[in-house]
Amino acid sequence: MRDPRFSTAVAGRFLAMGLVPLLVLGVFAGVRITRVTRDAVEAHHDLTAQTLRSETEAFLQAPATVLRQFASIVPGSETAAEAASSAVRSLDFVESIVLVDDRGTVRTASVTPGVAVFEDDLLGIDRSRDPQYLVASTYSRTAWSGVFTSFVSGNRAVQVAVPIQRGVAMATVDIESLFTWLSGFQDDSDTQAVVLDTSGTVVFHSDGEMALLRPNWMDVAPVVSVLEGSDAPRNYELDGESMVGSTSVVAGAGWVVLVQEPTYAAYTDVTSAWIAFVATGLAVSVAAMAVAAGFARSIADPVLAIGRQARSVASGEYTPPEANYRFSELRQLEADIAGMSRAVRDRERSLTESQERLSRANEDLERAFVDLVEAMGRAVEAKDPFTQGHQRRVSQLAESLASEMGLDARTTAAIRLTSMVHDVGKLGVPTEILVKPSALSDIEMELARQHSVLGYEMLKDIAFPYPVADIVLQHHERCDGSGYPQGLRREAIALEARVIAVADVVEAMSSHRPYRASLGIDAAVEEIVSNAHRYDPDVVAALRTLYAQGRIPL
Amino acid sequence: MKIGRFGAAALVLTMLTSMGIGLPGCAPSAPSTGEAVLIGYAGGLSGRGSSLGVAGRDGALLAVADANASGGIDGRPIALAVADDSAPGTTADEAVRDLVERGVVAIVGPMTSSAAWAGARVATESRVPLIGPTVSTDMLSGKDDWFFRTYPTNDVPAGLMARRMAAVAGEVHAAVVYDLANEAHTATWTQNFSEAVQETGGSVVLELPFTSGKNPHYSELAEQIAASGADCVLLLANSIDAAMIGQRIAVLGLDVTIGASEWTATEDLISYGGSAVEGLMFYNSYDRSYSGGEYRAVVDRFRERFGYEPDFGAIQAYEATSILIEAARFGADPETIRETLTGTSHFDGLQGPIVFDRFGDVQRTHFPMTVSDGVFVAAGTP
Repeated sequence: MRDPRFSTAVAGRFLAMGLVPLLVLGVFAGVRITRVTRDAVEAHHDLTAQTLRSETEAFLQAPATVLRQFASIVPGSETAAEAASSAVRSLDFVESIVLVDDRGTVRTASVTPGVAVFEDDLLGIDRSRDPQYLVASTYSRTAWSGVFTSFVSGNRAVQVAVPIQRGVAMATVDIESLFTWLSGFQDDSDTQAVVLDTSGTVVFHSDGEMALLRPNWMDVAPVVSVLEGSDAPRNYELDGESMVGSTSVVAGAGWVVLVQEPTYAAYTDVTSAWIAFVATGLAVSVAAMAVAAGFARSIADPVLAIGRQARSVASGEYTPPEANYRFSELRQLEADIAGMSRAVRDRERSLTESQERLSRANEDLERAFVDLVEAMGRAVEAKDPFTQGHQRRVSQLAESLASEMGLDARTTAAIRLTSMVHDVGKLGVPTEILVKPSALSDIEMELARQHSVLGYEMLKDIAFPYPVADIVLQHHERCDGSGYPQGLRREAIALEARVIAVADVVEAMSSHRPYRASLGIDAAVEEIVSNAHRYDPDVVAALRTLYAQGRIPL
Repeated sequence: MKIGRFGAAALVLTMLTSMGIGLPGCAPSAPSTGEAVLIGYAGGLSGRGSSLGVAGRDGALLAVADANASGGIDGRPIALAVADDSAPGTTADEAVRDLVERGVVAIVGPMTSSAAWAGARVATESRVPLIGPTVSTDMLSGKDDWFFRTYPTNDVPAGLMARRMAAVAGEVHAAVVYDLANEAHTATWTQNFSEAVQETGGSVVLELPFTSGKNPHYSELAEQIAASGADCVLLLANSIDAAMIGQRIAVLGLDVTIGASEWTATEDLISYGGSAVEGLMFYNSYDRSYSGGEYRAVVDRFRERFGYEPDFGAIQAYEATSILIEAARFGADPETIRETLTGTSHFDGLQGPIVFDRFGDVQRTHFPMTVSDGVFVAAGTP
């Protein structure tokens, strides 16, 4: 996995931290909304069912109340006929009233005038197999029929039977007016109100088409439960659809009122609330992510910029442009970086100055050293006027040879410097020997040759940057071992000493000496070439080159 | 890992979303209707004669529900469109036309012969098959039209009734009381019965028409029967009218043998007729005591769903609707259904095969029935 980006991480954390409370709150709110809405839906259904029930009840109780007034009236009597006739005329929803004796025979009949039945057709007929008669006479209680088509009017009707002292009073009640009454039930189209008789047959349905298509509800769970006297479920299936509904039982008649709604319709509000909640949650989350990403970027960008400033400081640009950040911490960070940058710059300056000072001190020291060496050279030459300028000229020639040989700067510097003092040991040689115009005796010669060792002794304890003392000691050694004081050969002799040896011989021969006149440069070169075995071949080659090119600085 | 946590946040969001959708009761779950095959039902659902129409409607509803429970027609659900052909101000031809306009592929109904007579004309004009479950009139027999029936013509039961009365009364002196409101049924029944009575050596002494719903005076009808001296009475009337006439005959104390057509024999006959209709004779076009599994299962389902015993109207409508659905499996459009019905001679009925002739008319066995102690019972062979 790639290294995580700071801005992504911040956005993620921000989202997660924002989302957890949102989620908890949302679930809580959602559950609450669901419950409240469900309660509201149930309460609404309950109320509607209760209303329909009480209206239906009132409607059905009215004729029963009228029939109870016949309690002491004898079927077939004059009083009965008058009372029945009076009741039928005064109650327009009662189609007929018959009083049946205790054998089931109709003794009194009164029919609403104008309907398709003659009263005398009803008198004397047998009603003993009428279920309502059977209930009222057998159990002495009021009985209501289910809804049926009245043969009196052809309208839908119910029959009420009330036990009286000498039989049963029965009324056929046109329930079309009940439908009109209940049709006042107005609601949103998804809620259905159904009134069912005890056989589960539709008495009233708020949806006329449904009444045709679902005429009987004996297979619907809450209806079956209520008719069987048990608690009706609130949620059930109807023709494959999930429903929520309330039931209520019409007192006495045992009819069922069912107010129901498809579950999806009942909970439309909940669904909308959830959709709104989820949409809001999504929007808030997206906004939170954007804010978090922006916030993270507002930090990450300055961090990267400060990083660039740091890199710029590293590359020597000590005063990067200022960014003027929003956050005080970032401004502080930038100021700290700038402070650090200044401190680095100041320290670098001071270091440079120190180095320069040191460098100058070194130069001074070197110059002093050279001055000292030259002074020493002059001291020697002061003692031996004939060799005046000898060391300086040797130095020049030796440097030319070194240069021609391509030697490094340090070796060349050592050669040049040492040449200046290579005869310093002569200070310890008696002046008369040095200036003696005649040939020296062996002893004198021995004393004169001591100047190499004497020079070594004088210089060996001085901390020159080069092995000056050793070179001085060896400047009279020869590659064939014929030199002094140690008779060293070839590479046993320091390179500087080998170069100086050649320059010393050439300069000495080409200069005047107390004991002879100058032999000239040609003779000097000739001497070297003809005795080349005594010298370093490279040095000899360089000398010949310089000579051939006329560049010998003497 | 930080990115992982970011991913977790997204997951939580997803969960939230799915929770919202998944909460019980929150998801819209309206039933899918698909493209339903619409079948019509026309019958009398209001007024005095409505018990037959209501029973037929319930039988058709059960047949549709049963077919849908076993997958509909090639997976397409079946829907029933219902029209009341006896509602105030409605006639049978209007009810059939209404169903045709609603786009039905075929129509079950009407239930009475007179309504069928009017409906068949509209069906033939509209080229939509009409299948009458309980239409018995001879007037629609042997015709090459868009009308089909699963009910036998009434010549056979009329003949059986005449011979059964003769077996009880010897020489029959019959009074026929018939309802002009269903004249297509009653007129042919009367004619067939009269001819059959004469074949037994008896005679029809009285033909007494009345019109149901038009203020029939049952007492007067009974008195006319009494005056005719008839020993047998044939009631060609709906159950309530028949019950009331029976009641008046009983009140007069007439000693007569009463017969009726199957049309009359619904539960209302007993509830309104009481003891007055004890011994009433009729023929069922099916065997009420049939013990075959599918028949009994349908009866049980019917009782469970509608809360009452299916009568002949319910059983006939169930069969007719099932036949229509079977025919629609060969092509759920009016033309194909008609061709299938015309080209098929056998359908599986609830009590064995139903056999059609080339005009779409059917032959059935007739079972002698009577009312005994307030229930319909088999009367045994006369």
